[in-house]
Amino acid sequence: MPQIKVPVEWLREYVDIDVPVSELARLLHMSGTEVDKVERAGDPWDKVWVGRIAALERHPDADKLFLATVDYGLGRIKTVVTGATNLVVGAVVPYAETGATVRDGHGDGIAMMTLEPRKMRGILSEGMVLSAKELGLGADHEGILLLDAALPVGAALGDVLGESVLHIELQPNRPDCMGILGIAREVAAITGRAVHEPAVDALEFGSLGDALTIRIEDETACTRFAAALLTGVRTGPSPEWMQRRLQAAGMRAIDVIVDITNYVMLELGQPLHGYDADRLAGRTLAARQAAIGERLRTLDGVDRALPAGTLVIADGRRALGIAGILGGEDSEIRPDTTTVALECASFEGRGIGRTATTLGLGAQSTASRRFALTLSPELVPLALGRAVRLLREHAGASVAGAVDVHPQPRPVATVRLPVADIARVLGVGTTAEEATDALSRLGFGVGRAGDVLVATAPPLRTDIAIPEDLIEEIARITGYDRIPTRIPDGPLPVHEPHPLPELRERVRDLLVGFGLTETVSYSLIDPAWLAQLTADGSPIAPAPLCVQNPTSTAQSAPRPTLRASLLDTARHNLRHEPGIAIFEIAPAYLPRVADLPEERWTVAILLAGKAETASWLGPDRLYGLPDAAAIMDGLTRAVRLPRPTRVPGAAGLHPGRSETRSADDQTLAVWGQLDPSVAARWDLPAESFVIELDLATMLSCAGRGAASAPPRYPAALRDLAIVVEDGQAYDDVQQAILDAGKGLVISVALLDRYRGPQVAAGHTSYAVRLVFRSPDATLTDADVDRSVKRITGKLLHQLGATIR
Amino acid sequence: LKGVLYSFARQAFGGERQVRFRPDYFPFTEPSAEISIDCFICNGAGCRTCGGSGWLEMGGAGMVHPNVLRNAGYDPTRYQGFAFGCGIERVHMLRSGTPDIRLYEQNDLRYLETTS
Repeated sequence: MPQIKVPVEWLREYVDIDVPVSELARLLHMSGTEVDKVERAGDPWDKVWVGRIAALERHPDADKLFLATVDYGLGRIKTVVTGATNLVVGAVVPYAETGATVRDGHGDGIAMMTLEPRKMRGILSEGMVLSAKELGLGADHEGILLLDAALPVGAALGDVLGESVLHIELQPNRPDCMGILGIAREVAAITGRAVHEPAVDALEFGSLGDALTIRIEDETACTRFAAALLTGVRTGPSPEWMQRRLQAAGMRAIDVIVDITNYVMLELGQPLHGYDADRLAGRTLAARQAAIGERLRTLDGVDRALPAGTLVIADGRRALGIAGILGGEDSEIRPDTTTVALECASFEGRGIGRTATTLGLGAQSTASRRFALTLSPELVPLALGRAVRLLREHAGASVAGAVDVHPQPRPVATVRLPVADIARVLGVGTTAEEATDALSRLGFGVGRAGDVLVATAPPLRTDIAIPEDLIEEIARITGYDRIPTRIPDGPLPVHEPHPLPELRERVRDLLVGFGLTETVSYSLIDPAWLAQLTADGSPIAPAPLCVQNPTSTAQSAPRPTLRASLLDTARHNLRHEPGIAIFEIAPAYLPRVADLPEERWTVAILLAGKAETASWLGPDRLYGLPDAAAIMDGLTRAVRLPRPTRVPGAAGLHPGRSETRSADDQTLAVWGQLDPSVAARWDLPAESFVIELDLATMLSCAGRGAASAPPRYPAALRDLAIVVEDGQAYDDVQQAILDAGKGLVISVALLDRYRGPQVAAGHTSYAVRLVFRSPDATLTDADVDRSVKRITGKLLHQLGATIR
Repeated sequence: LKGVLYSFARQAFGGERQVRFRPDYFPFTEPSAEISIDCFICNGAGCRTCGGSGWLEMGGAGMVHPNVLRNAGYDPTRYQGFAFGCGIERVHMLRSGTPDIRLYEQNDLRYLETTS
């Protein structure tokens, strides 16, 4: 954001200010002109106030001393013993309280002293009333500095006296504020005062014949180009007041001609450049694009190649400067210059900004910081007329004439604003009169057509185009504090359910409840990571889209899986943590043909290292498959997921200790132990566990709970030992039992798995406990036997299983 | 807009918070505003947290610019809306005392476990 320094003393030239500086800063700040800080020039004056002599008497024990009772506001009153003879009751004076640091008036006026209470001839004196010397304001130490009687008692002295500079940070839509006069207009609008326009020469623009020719060769990049020809110019130092103001605003004083161009730039926000007219080849100034390969040695001594798209100011033979940014070394005014071509132009801002950035000159060039915002072309004749006047007055110049090339003047911006719209947008009623007053203060011309205001923007404002722009101007002048503070209300809105975000939040809370910590990592990852998630380097997910111009390859592909990010997070943390249990909920981006990636919200969980560290309760315990299973189980139950289809194995996971679960042909989850070679590649323990769930699939098969009364009839238990061939999945056994025992079997629990001499070779025995219950009646043994028979029959037919 | 922002500021930082709503500029809102709260560390006196100003900037806001509404397919003569944005890390930093914004992207358990 562009910044300018506004010395208050200079600001006062254009607008009367009767409020303390801190109040001025607040008024500007609250109307949209951001005041970063108020810098005081000179001595700090901490704890120095505006005081009033409330009472005065002679010191009882000292002929030359007086006792002054000083009131310095807010009920604060102190007695001071002083030798000054110029005090009277009612005098307004600077009062420094105990602890303040001021200049020592008795010495050279440079050393500082800190005030402490002191008895003077037996009477306690607290603080001091000050002379100009003690304030660092001059040499006078004959008496106390008498202040303007109208100053507010109790105000901080720095607020009402001395030099202050406002540091203002401007918004890019207000290039008209890039000059002190622009700020003055704002102050005038806020305080309702008039602006004192600076004295400007009214130039007559015509032709200068051969004496000076102006040309715009790129009308898009340069919208206006004017120049004045001045003779009899004397170089030398500029007046002391100008040098002081330049310095207060942060620029160096150099020479009267350069100083005047800088002064006008600071004053009006419009840069200008002076050339030695006698040294212009062909007595021509042109705004043109740099030729291919053209070079220029700029003022700072650097020989630069001018990139394509650089606008230059050139004479008949060569480039003299980079337009709007930096002049060339050779084009400067010299001590022997007598005829000056003073150029003032308006440029399209973005081109200037781009060139400044490409050349790395943006920060140094005060001119480019202004031009980059696209100034109003109406500033050109104003700035030129002002500079010419100052050059006449202070550099002995005479005006030979002026030219102005303005091929496409912008039409004046006129905007229609229905008065009712103001209240609709701001929420507070504003009458046509209030709105007109606010706009007029800002320099708008305001007319009325019924209920519609017709406002014409002041010529220097480039940011006014639509009614909302006017509403903002009205609001900031009438005050944003007028806007009421209300919660939106109205008829009850239609309640729209958002099941996916709600499920997401439930899962998040569940996992935190299980003791895991949530992590948030970047959605853009290094595509090379994807090949590191499988044992053989085959891709675990489809090749992702990649960003064309990433800031780095480490963040160049929207991730099609969360796993790599989780492994990376685990890797970093396991360097200093004994164990890690983390999860992340984020979209995975699956590329699609000729379309943006599909975003699938995924829950990814990782457990690795020590679940518990050794203590008196027991030794270290590492995370194991049961921990992962417990989480799967907990989620399944909480979300009421149905029995999924389960297939052993999943990409990137340990082939014997992992599983893919799906429901209705949609993948619901993959989980299990990470493939140990993958774990090794990421510096993780061989026993690391991963769970990944697809939220959309979870949502589509999540069950609805239905509360039910406790069962009325007792359960019956049967234990069976079922023998199957080795390799037969237990899951099929369980499913067969549930299918055959439907209606009566409410649970099947695996008690034991046995291989050994009591079972045929190549076979495994599963011991299961079945629980039978009927909702309608107490089951008899016969009922249960019948069910067991159906079950054993099914096991035999379907799986060739026998009962032991 | 103002009510929503003030309500959030007070819920997040205390009911006695002073809230400041001042004009600002964004290309996509008009009128625009900036919302700040008085520094809850020094109560407006000025300290390191608020850089001496006594105020902490929360974020920007404003009425959605009619061009934005139009580009999104809404008729600006029939609809208007407000928008606001603030750095959520910053709000959390202020409330929690997190010392460095980079902690939010590092996923260091030693930091994560101090937040809740």
